[in-house]
Amino acid sequence: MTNSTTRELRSELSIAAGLLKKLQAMARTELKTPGNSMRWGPVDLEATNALDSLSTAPTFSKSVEQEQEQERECRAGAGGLAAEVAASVEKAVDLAQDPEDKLACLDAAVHVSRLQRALL
Amino acid sequence: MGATFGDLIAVADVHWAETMEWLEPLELSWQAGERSTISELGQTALVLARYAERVGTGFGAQERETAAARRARLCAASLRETASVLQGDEESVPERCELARSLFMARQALGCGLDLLSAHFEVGERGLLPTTAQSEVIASPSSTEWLLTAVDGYASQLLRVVEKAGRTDAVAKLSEAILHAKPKRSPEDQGLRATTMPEPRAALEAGADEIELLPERIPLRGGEGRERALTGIRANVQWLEASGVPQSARTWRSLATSTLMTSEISGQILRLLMARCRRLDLPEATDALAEAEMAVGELADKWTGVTAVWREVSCDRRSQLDQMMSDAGELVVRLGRLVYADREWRPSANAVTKLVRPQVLAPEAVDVYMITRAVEDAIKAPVAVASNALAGLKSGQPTGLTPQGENQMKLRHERLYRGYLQARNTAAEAQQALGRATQFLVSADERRPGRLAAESFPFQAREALGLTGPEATRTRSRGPGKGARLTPG
Repeated sequence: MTNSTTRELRSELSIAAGLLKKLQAMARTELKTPGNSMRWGPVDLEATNALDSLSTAPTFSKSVEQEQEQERECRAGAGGLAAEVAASVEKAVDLAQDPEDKLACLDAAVHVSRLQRALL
Repeated sequence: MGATFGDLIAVADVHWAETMEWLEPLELSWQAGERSTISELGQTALVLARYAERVGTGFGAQERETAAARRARLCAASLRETASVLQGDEESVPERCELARSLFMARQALGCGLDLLSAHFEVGERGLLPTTAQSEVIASPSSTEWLLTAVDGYASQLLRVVEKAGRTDAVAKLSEAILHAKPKRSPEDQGLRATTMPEPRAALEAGADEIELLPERIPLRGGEGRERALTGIRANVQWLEASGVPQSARTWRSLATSTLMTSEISGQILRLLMARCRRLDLPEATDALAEAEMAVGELADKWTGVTAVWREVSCDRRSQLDQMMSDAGELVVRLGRLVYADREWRPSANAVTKLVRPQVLAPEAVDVYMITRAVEDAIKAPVAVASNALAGLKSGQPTGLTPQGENQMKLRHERLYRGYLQARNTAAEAQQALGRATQFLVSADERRPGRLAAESFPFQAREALGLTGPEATRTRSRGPGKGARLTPG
């Protein structure tokens, strides 16, 4: 894998992670209201799972400590955020050449897909 | 630990399941005909064709053509034709819709898996040559059959999407491919498959005795009736009770969230039942339900605490969800559909939270009784989940955490143990209060037989209230009659 592809993948993973954290924060704020678990519990759950999956990518783990999460302008609302995460993870799957990286992104994509359904 | 072929097939399978999740609901199935989906269908057919081609030549290592290799070659040819029928204007593929994206993920996983297998061979003068100890295994007849069966399975799922997209041209080609890939049912083949596909189901067979005692599974259906829902709730809970300590950390985490939802929805149901009991002038039952509602409210707080711990512990991706999650998920959906004004209710950010009216939830005392019983059943789930978790924590579980997660768990082990313990105790209190409420409902009925006798189904109602003695409990699964089905067990 060339250096520039690695850089690009690292940046994409970092963007996805940043967006997922935003979604988590959004869900967790909503979850402070009792009785809200059936609306925001699955969102928080899947965002957390997706983040965990991404963090197992060898390229990701080297980056988190060193780099600040990148931010990307995104469509409004939780649905818009999730759509951005999905696009970002899709790009990451495409960029990943190392099977470990690829697998981590593919696994994150499972949760992002569920996350999107949890926001329908 | 490197990514294995098995890891990639496993994640491909989950993405196929996700594809079907996007395909099945009526309001989402338009995605099947999207241009991005059609293009992905073509690409996926190509990846499957590559599998069949590799199998057809034994990864290049095969010297003579076997029957399986011939089938694989024919299958590959049909898959390539399918792909060419579906290939459109590749220059401007639009942004993928969710269904197309799930297909993309599935084919990426399959493609990467094939690359891993192919890495055990290298290009020689006459094609690929085996280079590692595993090459022979990969090119063996049993692996060939396994791979062809896999191609058959994936192509069949692809066919469902192609059919939904209304692409009859591709349907014909793809059906041919499937026909070629289908295993020929000779006894030898069966034996081979048994040796090469040790599936997790084998573990279930070992405990066959236990499984016989469990009720038949009642898969969740859209718009299912009240009787099926209540029987389904009981079956879900019984399966959950029997499933023991979760195997994977992600199942622990998911169970915490779904149990929180179960508790909160149960509280909501109890509030409606209280309103109904007041209206029906059943003061003792109202009080007992109020007590249960208090306990269930506290229970939700306890589970909120448990989910908070699971947010802070990193779970490894090599931890697929256990089967028990489908029971836990169905339980939430069934409870939600009892109480929210949406027959197709599912938990989601935009889920309907408008409640049905109390008289709709439980028109008569007998209905109050039955729904209370359903909540009593449902609250067995938190008891079971917490008890299993406590047992697991004592025996060194959960496994399947990331190295970072292991450390996080060490710091939180005690807090988590305490959380589950309190959750279990509170759930037990709620159960007792619910038991008292059902007793009051039964005795209220005994004191006022005319109340139910005035209805058109006094016999069934009495039976449903458990007044015909314990023998009635065994008739539950026999007849389709309302009374028999809903008799408490």
